[in-house]
Amino acid sequence: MLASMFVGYVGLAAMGAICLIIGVVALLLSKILGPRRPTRVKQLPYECGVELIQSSARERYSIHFYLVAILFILFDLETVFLFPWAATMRYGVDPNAAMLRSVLLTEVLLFVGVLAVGLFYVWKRRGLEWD
Amino acid sequence: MFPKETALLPAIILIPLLGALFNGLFGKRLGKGIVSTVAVAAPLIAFFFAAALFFGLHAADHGPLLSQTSVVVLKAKKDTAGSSLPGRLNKARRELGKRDDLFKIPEIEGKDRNQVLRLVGPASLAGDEALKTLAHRHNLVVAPAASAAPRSYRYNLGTWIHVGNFKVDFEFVVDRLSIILMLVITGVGFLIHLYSTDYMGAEPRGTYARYFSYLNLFIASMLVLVMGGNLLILFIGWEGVGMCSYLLIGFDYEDAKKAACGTKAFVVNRIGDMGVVLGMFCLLAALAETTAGGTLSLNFQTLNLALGGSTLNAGLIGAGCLLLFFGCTGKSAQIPLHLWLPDAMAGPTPVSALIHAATMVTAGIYLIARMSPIFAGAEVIGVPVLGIVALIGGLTAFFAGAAAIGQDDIKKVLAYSTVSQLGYMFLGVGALAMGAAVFHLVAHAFFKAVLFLGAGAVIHATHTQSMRRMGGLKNYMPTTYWTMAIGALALAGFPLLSGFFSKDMILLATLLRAKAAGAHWIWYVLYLLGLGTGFLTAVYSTRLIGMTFWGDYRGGGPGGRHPHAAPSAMALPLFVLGVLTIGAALLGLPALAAWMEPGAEILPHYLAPVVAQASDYLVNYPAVSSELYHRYEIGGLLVGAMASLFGVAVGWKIWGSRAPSQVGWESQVSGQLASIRQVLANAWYYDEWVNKRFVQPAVLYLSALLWEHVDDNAIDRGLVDGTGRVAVQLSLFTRVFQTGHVARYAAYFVVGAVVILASVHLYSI
Amino acid sequence: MDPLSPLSSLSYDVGDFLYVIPIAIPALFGMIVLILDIYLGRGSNKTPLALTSGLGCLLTAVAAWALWAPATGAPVMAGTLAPSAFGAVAALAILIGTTLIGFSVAHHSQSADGVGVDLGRSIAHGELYGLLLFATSGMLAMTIANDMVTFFVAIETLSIAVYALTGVERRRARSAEGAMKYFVLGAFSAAFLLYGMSLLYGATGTMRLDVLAETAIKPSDLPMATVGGTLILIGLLFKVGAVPFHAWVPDAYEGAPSAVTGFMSIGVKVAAFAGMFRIVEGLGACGALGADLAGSPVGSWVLWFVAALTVIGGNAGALTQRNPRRLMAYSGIAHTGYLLVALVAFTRQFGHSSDALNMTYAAHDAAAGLLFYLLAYALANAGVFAVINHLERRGEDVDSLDDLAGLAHTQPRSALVMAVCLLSLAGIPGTAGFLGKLWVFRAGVASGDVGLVVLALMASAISLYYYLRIVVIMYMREPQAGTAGASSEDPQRWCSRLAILVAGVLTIWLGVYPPNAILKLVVDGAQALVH
Repeated sequence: MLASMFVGYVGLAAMGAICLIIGVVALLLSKILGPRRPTRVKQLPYECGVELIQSSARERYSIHFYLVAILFILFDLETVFLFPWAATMRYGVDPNAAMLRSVLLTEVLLFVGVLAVGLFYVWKRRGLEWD
Repeated sequence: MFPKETALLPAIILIPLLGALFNGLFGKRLGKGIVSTVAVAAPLIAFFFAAALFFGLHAADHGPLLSQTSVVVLKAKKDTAGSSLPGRLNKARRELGKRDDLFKIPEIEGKDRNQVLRLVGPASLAGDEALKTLAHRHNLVVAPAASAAPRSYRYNLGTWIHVGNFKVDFEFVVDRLSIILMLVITGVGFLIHLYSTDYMGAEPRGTYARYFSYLNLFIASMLVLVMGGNLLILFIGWEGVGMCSYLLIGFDYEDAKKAACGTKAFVVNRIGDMGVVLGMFCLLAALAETTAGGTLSLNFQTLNLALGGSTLNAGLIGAGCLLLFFGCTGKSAQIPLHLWLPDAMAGPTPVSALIHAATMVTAGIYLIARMSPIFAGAEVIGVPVLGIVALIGGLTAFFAGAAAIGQDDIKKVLAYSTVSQLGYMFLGVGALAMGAAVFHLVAHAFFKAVLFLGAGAVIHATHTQSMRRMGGLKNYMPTTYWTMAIGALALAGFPLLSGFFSKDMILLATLLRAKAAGAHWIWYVLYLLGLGTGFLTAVYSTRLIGMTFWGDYRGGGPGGRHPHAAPSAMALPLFVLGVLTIGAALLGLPALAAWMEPGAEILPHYLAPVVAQASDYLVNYPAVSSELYHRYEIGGLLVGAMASLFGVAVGWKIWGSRAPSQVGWESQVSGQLASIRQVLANAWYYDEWVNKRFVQPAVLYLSALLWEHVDDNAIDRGLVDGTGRVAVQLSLFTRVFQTGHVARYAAYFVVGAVVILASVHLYSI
Repeated sequence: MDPLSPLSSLSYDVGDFLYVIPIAIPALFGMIVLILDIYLGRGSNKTPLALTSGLGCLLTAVAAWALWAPATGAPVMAGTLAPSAFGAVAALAILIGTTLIGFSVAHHSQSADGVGVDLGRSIAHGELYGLLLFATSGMLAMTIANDMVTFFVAIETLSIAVYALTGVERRRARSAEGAMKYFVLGAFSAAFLLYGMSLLYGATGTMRLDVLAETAIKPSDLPMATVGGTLILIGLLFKVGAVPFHAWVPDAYEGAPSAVTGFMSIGVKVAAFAGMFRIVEGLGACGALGADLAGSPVGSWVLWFVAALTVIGGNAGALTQRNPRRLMAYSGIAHTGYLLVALVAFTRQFGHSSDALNMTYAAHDAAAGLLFYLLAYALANAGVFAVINHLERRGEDVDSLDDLAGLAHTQPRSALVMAVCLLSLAGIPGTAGFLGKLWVFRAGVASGDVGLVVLALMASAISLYYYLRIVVIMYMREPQAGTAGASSEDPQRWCSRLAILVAGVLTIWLGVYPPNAILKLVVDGAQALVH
């Protein structure tokens, strides 16, 4: 019983093993084959090509960074939801189902409306201002 | 149907109750005048209401039958043949077995062509369409049962308890039996309240108000007792009067001895009350079997109809009746629980008159009369319960009567006399002469109240209860003397006074019971015991009057005050009760004349429809209008009169002619007479015996065990403190886990999850 | 079927949107309150916020009563929701909590610096009310969710709002600490819940509870389903605070401001229990509660032990607490235990015992008892916390039971309601709590769990000690200067006084003479759950 239960997962286990092997092998290969000539510039952390802002990661950032970052992620992720909606409207729904289409349209408008209210609130609370 | 009158039912109880509340709450701050006015008015108003009900009942008896329970019969249609009648009745009976509103499984009664199917059920039964259809199907018709109970008043305050098919209404019923007692309770109660206003006049204001508050509360409780429509309501009253009795016996609670007397009365009564409760359970169990799933109630009417004469569960019924009677021996001071009544004399004298002579102690007789149809048929291992009742009653009557002769305390004489007279009543009840017993109850209420109130006046005047320090009071208090003399003569059964007729009626019933076919010889013994008690009664009654009123005054001593006559508020009740003592004879004039049917005496005749009759239950009872009855009657009267007169003569001889100087000569008698006197003065040493056999062992072993080991060690230290300690330890233990570290909390989570998953998963695989 | 067009197979009736209204109203009002707060300006009286949120709750209650109560529990909205009287009663209990707690903090004043400050405490009222209403929306969705995805979204909506609420008093370290602990452990439990759901989906191929209840699982998939069901159960046991998943409760309750603690103790528990019963109905019917052990699924027995541990742990823990919020936390754990007794009785129907009919009756009783109990519990807790909030209005913390000393002398009405509500929590006759306990324990006896009921009874006898201790402190001690209990009543604060009054009156009313409409709703709710 116990054995038969796991029969279905053999493939999964195999995939996990293969992933592990590939990852380890790739790292090992680059370690073995790759030439290494470190310079100071090469040792610096990579920050999108911009020069280092702070010399140490342990220093304190302004709290505004977090606020802006969180707000960005929030609105960014929520707008992502519009893509599957658009795809569904285009390919997933019968073009003649007028009722269903209008319901879906209303739903997404409500969704965007809620987002707008949120944006309004953040704006009014001066969440978008740096000072 | 009678809105005005039925509204009186709760009012009668409410008025004394309000009086008690008023005096209890505000009496202390008000004057004695207001307190006594309120207190006296309450029973008086209740008495008028009761009188109104009495006349209403009388008028209503000519109206249609009104009842909560109805009895109908299914009988053959006049002109039909069809299959045989018993077969049809049996079929109908089987079908009716499915109905759950019947109080009793239907029974087939009668013989041959006259067979009928008897149904006992709710009032709607007579007009029940389903029943008619069913009867029609079997070629039967529905007809009301022949016996019709007289009218009663009912007032239902609503359902009190309703659990499953068990239902108890908060209902009051007034019928012929209860109205008689209500009149006595409120009437005599009023007179005693009036008397008390003077008797208690010297008490401080708070005490005065407390006294009247208790007294009114007693009246209310007693009314609940006799008006209750079912056993549970009766039990409320039963406990209520017990409580009032306790409060009033120990009224002077600063005197430890008197308080102890109250406690004794309470404890002994509790033992009896246990019997009542257990008896109630037994009867309920019996009813459950009889009704087979139908509605269960404790209504007297239902119980009487369903269990009266039922053979279905004779054991339970017999046991129930015997237990109820055990309760009666407590409340009505019969062997073996009579020992509290003499001690109850510690209470104020009017209380003794009202509670411990006229009303409360007769509750036992009322209970048996109320349930007489059940008692009449009840047997315990072949012995009829009523036979036991009569035996206990006869023995109590005799032994307590003898003990009364040996008492020096005037109230103790009356107390033993009361026990003895109550014994008489139980003898009558046992002989199935409920009417006679109630007649004696009423007459006794009057003459014993006179005697107690008179004794109170004497005590009030001489400041002592010992008859040795009295004597010669005839000249100082003539009203008291004459009224008490009438009371004592009535008690002694002096010819033509009420006690004479009532006692005689009981003795006659006992004799007839003995003559019934198949009666045990013990009934003859009981008759003789009753007769002997009559003689003893006459002796101690004469002794009481002689030692108190005749000869010279022995109290006072040098410089002592002379006793004074009773004040008017005390004299008036004495006078009224004296008249009633004489007049009560009218209620039970014997059926000597040829034109009077046997059992046609006013009170027994009045009560006949609501209580069990000997002729209904005893085969070949020699009662029905025969010459024999009149012959026994005349003979019985003559014999009774002779016993009484002989007793009075003996008393006169011994106590009437003694010279005034011979104070306490009784204690100087020697030899055998002295030892007899010792035994009588100590009431056969029953108290001592109970003390040695039951009380002392209980105190020494049982209470020591319960108190030290069970209560102190096991309950207090073990359960009470122990639970607390365990709980606190547990609490401190749980705090250990609450470290505040999230990681540790997560660890608990994981451990719990793993344990749960493992247990579910491993078991399920 | 075209895999690209999942929607074409769904039955989407426009009328179904009616059932969403009670969930939408709190969300809408949450937004309104947020915007309103901006326009009210800083430092002003925030009573309008309480009134607006109260209006929203009232509308929601009416909508739930009108729209959910008559529904039969049949799935709507493409199977995502199953509205019924069950949801309606749970919604009432939740809304009682939101409204009364909202009212009781209406008069806490704010200072001018943007985030309201009373004497060092800082609560932004707009956010407080907004989050309360958003959480309420999630709770309501949870009580009628019929799809495990919907259920999870609902539970996260409420959880995230409540995490934020716990830390709403952001300048106080304890508040932040409590929020952090709650969040970490909550995320942990959400993982269990989600993992369980995915396993169950793997075993049964459905997310819908009504379909699940009629699914016959292949024997080879049964272990997976059982593990999935157990994991879901564990996730939910965390939410209701059952031992041993309760450790977050005292810390979160103590850290959060009193207002939030009150809301958490009511709303989260009511919603979690309502959802738990609905999910367990599905789990039990498909056999995911494990194999039969002595006539009941093994899950019943596990719950039996959890219930026993919880009543003991909750009551024992409460005995030695000095902080009222911490005490109420343990009290809440104890009440979780009593309600788990109902859950045990409820799950007995899924076994193959010989008297299945009686077990169905017991399950029916358990569901009805649960609903009544939740109402009573919501009222009583709302009363207790309303009084505490009322006392804290000037920023005087009620952090010790001694702060309540002499309250009966200074504020007799508040003390009276507090006493009534505590007695209701203890289950004293004459209060709603008694009837709730009676009902739940009756179900326990009917299902044959007499031992558990006796244990719960003994534990609730112990609970009298700590409830009555508060009453004793209020009534028999002298007020101490400088504590909340020493200040006399302020007639200006009519909102919080109204909340206190309503909680007290309803507790007595439900306890002495529960109106027939409520009883009918409760029985209908049970009927919708147990067929």
